Amino acid sequence: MIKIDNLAVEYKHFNSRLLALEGVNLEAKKGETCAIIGPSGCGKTTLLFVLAGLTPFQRGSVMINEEPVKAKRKKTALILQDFGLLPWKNVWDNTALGLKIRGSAPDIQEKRVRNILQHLDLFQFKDYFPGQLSGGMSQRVAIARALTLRPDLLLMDEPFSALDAITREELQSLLLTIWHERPMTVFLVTHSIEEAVYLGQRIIIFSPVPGSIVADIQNPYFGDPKLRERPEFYTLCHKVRTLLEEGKSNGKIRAS
Amino acid sequence: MEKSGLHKAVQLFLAFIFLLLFWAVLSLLLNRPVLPPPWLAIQTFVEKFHSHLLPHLLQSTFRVLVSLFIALFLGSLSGLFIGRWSRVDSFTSPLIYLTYPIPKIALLPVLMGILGIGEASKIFLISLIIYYQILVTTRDAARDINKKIICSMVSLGGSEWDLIRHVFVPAALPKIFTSLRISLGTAMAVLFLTETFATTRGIGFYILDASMRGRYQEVFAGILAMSLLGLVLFVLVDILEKKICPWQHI
Repeated sequence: MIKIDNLAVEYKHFNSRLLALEGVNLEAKKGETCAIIGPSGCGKTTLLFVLAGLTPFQRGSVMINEEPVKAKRKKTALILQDFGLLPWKNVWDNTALGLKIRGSAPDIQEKRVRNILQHLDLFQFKDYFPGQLSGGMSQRVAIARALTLRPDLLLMDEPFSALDAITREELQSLLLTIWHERPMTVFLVTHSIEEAVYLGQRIIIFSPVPGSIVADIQNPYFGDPKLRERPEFYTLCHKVRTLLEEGKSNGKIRAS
Repeated sequence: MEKSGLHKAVQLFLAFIFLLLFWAVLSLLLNRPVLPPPWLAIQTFVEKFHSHLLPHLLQSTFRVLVSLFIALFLGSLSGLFIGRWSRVDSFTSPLIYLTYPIPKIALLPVLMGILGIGEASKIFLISLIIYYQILVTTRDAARDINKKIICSMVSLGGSEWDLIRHVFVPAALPKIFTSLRISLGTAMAVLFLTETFATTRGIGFYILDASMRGRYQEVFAGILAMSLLGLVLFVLVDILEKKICPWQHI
């Protein structure tokens, strides 16, 4: 599904250059969820934006379904930390936006938006504007908007980091439920070790800038909605934390 | 009328009474014909409204409305254009900075020489002055759009036209309305000035003519008419903004 080879991304800032990512190699199978975690500014979001076709890269190759990555790929959906909702559109119009832009027929728009809003318990708020919603509800709308596109690749940039602990756990469980109903490849950038362990089939750990992968862990406990209550959860969290700290201090190590 | 609307109307009425009281006290203290008490001005306003004031008022309304429409259309269009594309911005911004401070009102005689003494020169001048205010506000609104919103639109497959339609225009609208409110005051002031030159129609002319003849009650009847016009336009802008930008009033 995804194949990244020797990816490097460089930002120009006035006269200086900043290498954000270097030598990133990564493969992800169809329907796999990958949680990406690393120190601040390590290029995690850059990787996500490269996959969304929004950030150009200087070296390497990025293939999605054996095609070079491009912007506006029909089956890619992106969810951002601050939701990316348009404040001037109500819940219904925000949810329908992707379909509208992609020129879906009005009856398909109507049917899909209605189904998804009902499914995510948002239908009764369809006339509300984002300014009237809590953070959790806004993020539900952003998820609803992404799901209307029936994506096969869902990219999420710290989607739950601005939310309180209870709402965050609720939405994490919701995401897991959605994934079980309709498996898709998910790339989730997060700062939270617990979130990475709960939502990542694979947990990919990045080094500080220029970001590269220092560890790629298979998570055998992935998919258990009650994982947070099991001792293995904390063992794995501890392992990820240790790897993060090691990655921070000595660059690159490998683990599996 | 909804509760908040009624509340606003009562507040407006109270402010009106307060202003009348202030005017009455000032007029009684000054005790000179140049400042007649409000009741005499209102009496003249009512007496002269149909026969004298209305044709002048309609003429002024026409001028100010046409000017506002032209300035609004061109100002918001060019503001969006300049704010959206930084290359255009880097070329036009110095031009705006250089031409914005020119006292355009001083161009009135020149404009009359070019466009004639009819409506065109007056409307052009009012439009030109307001155009700048709307242009600068819209340009800044378009520049300040959250980049994340643009990213999320592009990732949804949005084209440049989608960005303009779904992001730039609605994001700029509340700011355009604010600048329109501010511009209204300017428009009324410029309207008055243009109507004191080479015309025999318009409230500005009516006020100047009455003042030359020493008919101060008529002067104030004219000022009342002009204020009324400004107030109606102001309320209209408010109502329009609530209709067009409901998310601003939640």
